[in-house]
This record gives sequence, structure tokens and C-alpha cells, in this order.
Amino acid sequence: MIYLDNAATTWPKPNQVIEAVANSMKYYGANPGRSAHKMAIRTSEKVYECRELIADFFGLSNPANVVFTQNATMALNIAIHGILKAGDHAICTVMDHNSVLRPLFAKSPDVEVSYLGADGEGAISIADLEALIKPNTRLVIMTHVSNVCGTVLPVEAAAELCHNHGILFLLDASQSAGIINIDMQQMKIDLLAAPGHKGLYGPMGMGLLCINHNLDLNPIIQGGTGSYSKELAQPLELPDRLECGTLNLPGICGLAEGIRYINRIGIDTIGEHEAKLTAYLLDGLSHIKDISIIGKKDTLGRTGVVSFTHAKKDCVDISSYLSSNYSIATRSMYHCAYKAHESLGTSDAGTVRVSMGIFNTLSEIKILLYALKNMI
Amino acid sequence: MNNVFIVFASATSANRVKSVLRKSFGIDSALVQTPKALGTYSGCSYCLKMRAEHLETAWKIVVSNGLSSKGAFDSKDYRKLK
Repeated sequence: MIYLDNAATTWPKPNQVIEAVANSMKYYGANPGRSAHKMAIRTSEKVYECRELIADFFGLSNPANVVFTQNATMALNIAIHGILKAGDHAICTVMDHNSVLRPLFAKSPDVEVSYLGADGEGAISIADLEALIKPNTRLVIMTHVSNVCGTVLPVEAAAELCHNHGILFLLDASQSAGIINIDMQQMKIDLLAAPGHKGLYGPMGMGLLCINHNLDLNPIIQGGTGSYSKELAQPLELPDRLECGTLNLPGICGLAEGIRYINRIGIDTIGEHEAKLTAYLLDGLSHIKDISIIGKKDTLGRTGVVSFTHAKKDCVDISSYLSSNYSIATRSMYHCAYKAHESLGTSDAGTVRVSMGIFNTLSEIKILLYALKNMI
Repeated sequence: MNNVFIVFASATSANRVKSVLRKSFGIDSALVQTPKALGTYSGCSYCLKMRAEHLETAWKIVVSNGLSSKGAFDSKDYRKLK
């Protein structure tokens, strides 16, 4: 198979990740933070080791502020529901995923929501963002990279603006973690939500919420933490305040190895590899009759998430053709981000999305282009 | 040789002090179950066991990082030290 659906989840996973998941069940099979026998303590130390790795990776000083979740959606929900109260105003962008748009919609009308528009390439304006700020604006949420067209949003400038206005900034790093360097302190990012199974190369079922300083978020679930057991109220300390019930230990061990794998290769090397493949793909697509690239047409300000449409063919039919005839995996339609399609001019038919990862090769992109050229 | 226990409510806090002691000061400590005699302080928590001579260093880590600890205790008579 030629796997070009890495924006949904990366595949394959590095061998060391697979081994770490298997080893976790052999050697770290106890419930961390509860019992105090040897294996439980060893497991607890392993979990903390992963928190430290993640904190270092995202420039976070306190590993306790790394909260494990089941995915980025859950991390975004914890942040959005935990911060926003009735009477607050929140801003997101039209390029955001439903994992942001839906929890915000669920908070309305108690919470007023403004949508920052984008141009036909998915780019946003910081001046437009500033114009939306109100005295009661509590939170700005922004995706780092569009999951539809790969456009990189100016999150550093947005975070700086929010910081200057005393507004919290929540970054959705679903399409950037592991691909673009992120330093939460340097970039003044208050909260970061990320999946563990995309650019971080961990297993599915893992996500993260990183909190840059001591914010009191109302927990959306309550339960056992192995701490303050005599008290009925959820503990105030992180990560226990937002993280309860048994953790996904195989996922955590796999994620730790995914991050070590990225650290060994280097984010810049990963970015350069994907940029090289993207440049080749964009050039090839631009020479195929009836195909239109959606979003930026060159590699500046974008990642290896590329969307296109065809003047005469339905995007679902194209993905099906690629899968059936060439075993090429792509994704078609709306990518859970319909407002982005409205801006990009693809709200009627959606797009075919090709998304690259570290394991893709130039030969695979050549086969994809060959397949598209020979599509009848 | 005297040992001390620093009792934490959270396993994450205990692991954090253990990690800083090892990485910044080369001091070894061990995560252990809180003794029953200190149970009234802890619920179902962990504590960090170390040689008494390292208590001041460890306690500075607890205080400077704003960690919530139930206190430091002598391992023989459970006398409260901090």
C-alpha cells in the first residue's frame, strides 16, 4: 500500500514504537499511581518519564502540566469546556476542525463565538483577529495547520496578540506537532492540544493537553486519581485535576518512543523531507489537466497536506479509483472542517486530500501522479 | 543510616522530585508505598524515601516548585521533620 493519509493518522509506525507498546504490556502491566508494588512503581516512573519527554519537546517547564487524553479532540474539549463560562466570548477560525467548532457551538449561546475568516488559500489576518477582540474575550483557539489544505497559520503572532490583551491562547497542534517546532513558552502559547498518533508517531488512542502555567480548568470528568482519596472533590493538582481513571499505558509508552524517534531524526529533517515531496507533488498536479490545487500552490507557508479537486470527477470516485487500482490511500470529501471548505471554495464537492509522512518516498509520489494522469 | 520519607498526595509530584534529585543533584531516592503509620497523612499515596542527608535538597525542590507535600518524616519513629 502507498499510504498518503497521514493527516488522519500516521502509518506505518516506527518499529521502536511497536516494540514499546508490546513491551509495556510485558513489563509495565500494572496500574500506575495506584498500587505500590514494584511493577506499579516502575510503571508510574515510566508515565512520568513520558511527561518529561513531552514537556521538553514542547518547551514546557512543568511535566505535571502534561495531561494525557484519548485524542486531540478530548484535549480540546477539556480546554474549551474547562475555561469558558457563561458571558465569555471566544474566537476561533473558519479553518478549525469540528473538534473545535462543535464544542464551541455546544457552549453557545451562553458563550458568544466569533469566527475569524480566511482567504481562498486558508490564510488569516492578525489585524482581522484583533478587530474581533472584545472586553469579555476569554479564549482564542487556532489550528496551527489546516487539515484540509496544509496552510500554516500565524500562531506566534496570534499568541503574542492574545498575550498582550490578557486572553488565553489555545493551539490545536493536530497537524503540526512533530512536523513544526513548537516552544510553548517562547511562543506564549497558554494551552496546546495534540494527538499522539499523528506527527508524534505514537499509537491511536493517545492525545495530549499541555498547559503552560497554572490555570484552573473545571474538569469535565471526575474520578479516581490515586491521590487525595479521602476527598470527594476532584484534586486541584495537575495532572490529576483533568486526568482520572486508568491511563492508556501502552499508548503512553508508544508515544514516548515516537517522540524519541522524532528527536533522533530531528523535526527540521522531517519538515525538509515532507517539503521535498510536497514540492514534487504540487508541480506534478499543476501539470495534470482538469486538476486544481486547493490552497497554496507552492511550499511556502504550508506543510505536506495537499488538497485538490478535479473539474470532471467526483473526489470520492478519485480516492476510490486510487485505492482500487493502485492501493493508494487518500481521503476525500470534507475532512471534518466544512467552514474551511466554504473559504476555500470547495463546499459543494469537497476535496481529495493527500498527506505525507516521514516514511513516504519520491517514488510513491511519482506513482500517485502517474495514476492521476492515467485516470479515465 | 537514617532515612526519611517525603509524603506526596500525587504520584506525579513524587516522581518529579525523584527526577530532579537524580538529574540535577545525582541523588538517588526511591518511590515506595507510604507506611501505614503515616497513612493518616496520605490516603493511598506514594512517598519518596532517601537518606536523611538529602532531605534539605529535596525539600528545596518541593518548596521551589510549589509541590503539595504532606510533610517529611523520619523513617524510624515517623517524627515529622518538615
